[in-house]
Amino acid sequence: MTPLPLPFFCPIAGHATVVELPAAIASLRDAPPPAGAPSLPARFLRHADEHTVLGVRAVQKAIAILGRAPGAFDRWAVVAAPCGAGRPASARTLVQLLEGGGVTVSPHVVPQCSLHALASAVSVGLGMHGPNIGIGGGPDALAEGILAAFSILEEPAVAGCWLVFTAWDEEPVLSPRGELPPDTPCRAVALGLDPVDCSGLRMSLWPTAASGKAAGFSPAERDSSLAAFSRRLAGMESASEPDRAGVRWSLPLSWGGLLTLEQGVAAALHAGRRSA
Amino acid sequence: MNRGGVSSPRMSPCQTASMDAVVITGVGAVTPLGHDFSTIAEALLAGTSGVRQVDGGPYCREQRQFAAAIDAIPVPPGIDPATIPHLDRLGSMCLTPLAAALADAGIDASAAAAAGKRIGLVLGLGAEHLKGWEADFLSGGQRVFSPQQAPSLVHILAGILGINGPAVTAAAACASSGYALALGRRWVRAGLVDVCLAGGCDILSPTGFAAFYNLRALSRRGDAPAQASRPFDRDRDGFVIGEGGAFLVLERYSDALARGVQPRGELAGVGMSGDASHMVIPSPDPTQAARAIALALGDAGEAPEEVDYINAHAAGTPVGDVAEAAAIRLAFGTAAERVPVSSTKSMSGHLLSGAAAFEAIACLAAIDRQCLPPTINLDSPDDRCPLDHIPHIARKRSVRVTASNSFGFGGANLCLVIRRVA
Repeated sequence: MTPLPLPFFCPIAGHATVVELPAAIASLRDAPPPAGAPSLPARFLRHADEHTVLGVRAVQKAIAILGRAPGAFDRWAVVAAPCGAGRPASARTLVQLLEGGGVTVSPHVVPQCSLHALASAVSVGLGMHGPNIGIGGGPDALAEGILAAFSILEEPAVAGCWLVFTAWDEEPVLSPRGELPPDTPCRAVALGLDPVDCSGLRMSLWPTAASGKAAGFSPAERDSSLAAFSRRLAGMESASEPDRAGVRWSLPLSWGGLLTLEQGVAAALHAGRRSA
Repeated sequence: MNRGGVSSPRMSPCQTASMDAVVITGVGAVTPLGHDFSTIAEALLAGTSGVRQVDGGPYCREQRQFAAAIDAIPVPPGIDPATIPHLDRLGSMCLTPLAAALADAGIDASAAAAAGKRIGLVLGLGAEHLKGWEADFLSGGQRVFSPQQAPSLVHILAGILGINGPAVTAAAACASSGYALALGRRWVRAGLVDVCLAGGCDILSPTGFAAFYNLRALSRRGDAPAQASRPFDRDRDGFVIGEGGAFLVLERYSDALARGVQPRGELAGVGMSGDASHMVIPSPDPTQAARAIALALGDAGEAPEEVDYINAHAAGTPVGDVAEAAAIRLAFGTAAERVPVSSTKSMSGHLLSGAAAFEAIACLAAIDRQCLPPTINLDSPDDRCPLDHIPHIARKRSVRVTASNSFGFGGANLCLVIRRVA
């Protein structure tokens, strides 16, 4: 048997969550940034998918919370793991294609509706020169994104990583023209992973020996939805100090790993990118 | 060591690479230039074009549509199609080269898993869902309107192949499969997996054709398809869209040695960066693209003058080729005058998500044959791309170190250094 690798750890320097309905997302396209956050280039989000608008906003909000100097994120990577992004625009594109042929297809559909769109928008819009990668795209986006972020953080040239998740709280039924129902919330969570920050929240990946480890976990603990992750993240923030160490999110992976998010970890464990 | 399910397809001693090096022990491909390593290598070195006229269907933007297309996807080796779930064209375009890569490496994934080995899969694919919705919709389906989410293709493929380790989809536009290789290499180095399949694929589709055409990114030389893809040429007018899949098997050199396998090459260095400039247009400032190249060379421990061949991203777009030439010159300095450069997209077309992995295979072909593939159709090199081009005809040369660039929308920059082993 091959020996198990060391676990992966990374502190979360700051994070932000944004939840909005479609009408509010539309108004965010041209909205000024949150106070203390960097601005986007003019009309930068005009062709962007709903997930991209919200994901960029979550990163702006997290940057404002962190309050670091301009340029602090210059060598950061962006790993964006949307789930179900691009469907409304794809539906509209396909309806138009059928009715009017290829001339109706927007040239923006490729850069703005592909899996890479959110990662590239964060990188381009907010000036980050590390690698930018779209990950997942489907129901397992959360776990895939965390694993990819850990992998990217192993690259020596990467100083930190914005890990961004987006998802509809419930996948919407679209109208025959590809329009969204007005009451469908979309959610974005941005985590600033900084190997040298010790603020207290920590993300971990524990490789385990074999698959099937999910068997020991309750259905709630196997909930890989972004909404569940977001609720637990908020719970950690709101828990009183003595209780924080006991609040934990964990997700068993089908191939044998275990992802965790926890509070109150000893600072010694944060030293370096990986430690035993 | 018991390597259950593993045979030894290529036996020979290797001494030079470090035991921790990540090496390439298997290659699988379905491409416009052929579907196995030898055929592809021969086509590349012969300067064969895979571009031709195709039936663009009812949504075509031009009377004479052309592309680097694949007529029939071969049956995946070692898999009975009757025993697996139905796959659409995109799925088949992935499965066949994945299975072929495992077979080329002499690995039976299920048996290796039973022997305690972890195998991972990184699928470079930028528009899986759009292409899936499109194929369904144009055949009368309504999936794009439905909240029902299908499992991601990477997990379906992992199930079919018996992959027991982590599996993710990675997208970085036209550099997607290169980023997949970078992630796969990192997993092997970190010990997360023993073997990783990594690469990417793409297929032609009506929206893909139309979107790139309407973006004015595609060549419009419909009267001469085989001459349409002309990277670095003064008269280039865009890229030629292509399709195909290319995957590599990555593992530690010590593991390859233990099972008596001669690697095809070493994935010796990776460099990645972001332009942070524009969602579509490459940055006119070459700093970040050059940084990706420099990072890859540094990661491999190679100086610019040690590089024997650069496989350029150069797709044949007026802006992109000039930007890449500037990046190569900035990264290589005076060595740029002497390092031969070609773009195999002149022959293969642009395989989009599959391009970087295919071009890694082109580097392996250069190492294997000790001969550099040319840029065909390079009749009049653009003065703004002053490089040591290889126009029309392959060039014999001792080849130890190669570098392959890939650049994508959103300023995704990548360079892979692939080195001869032994």
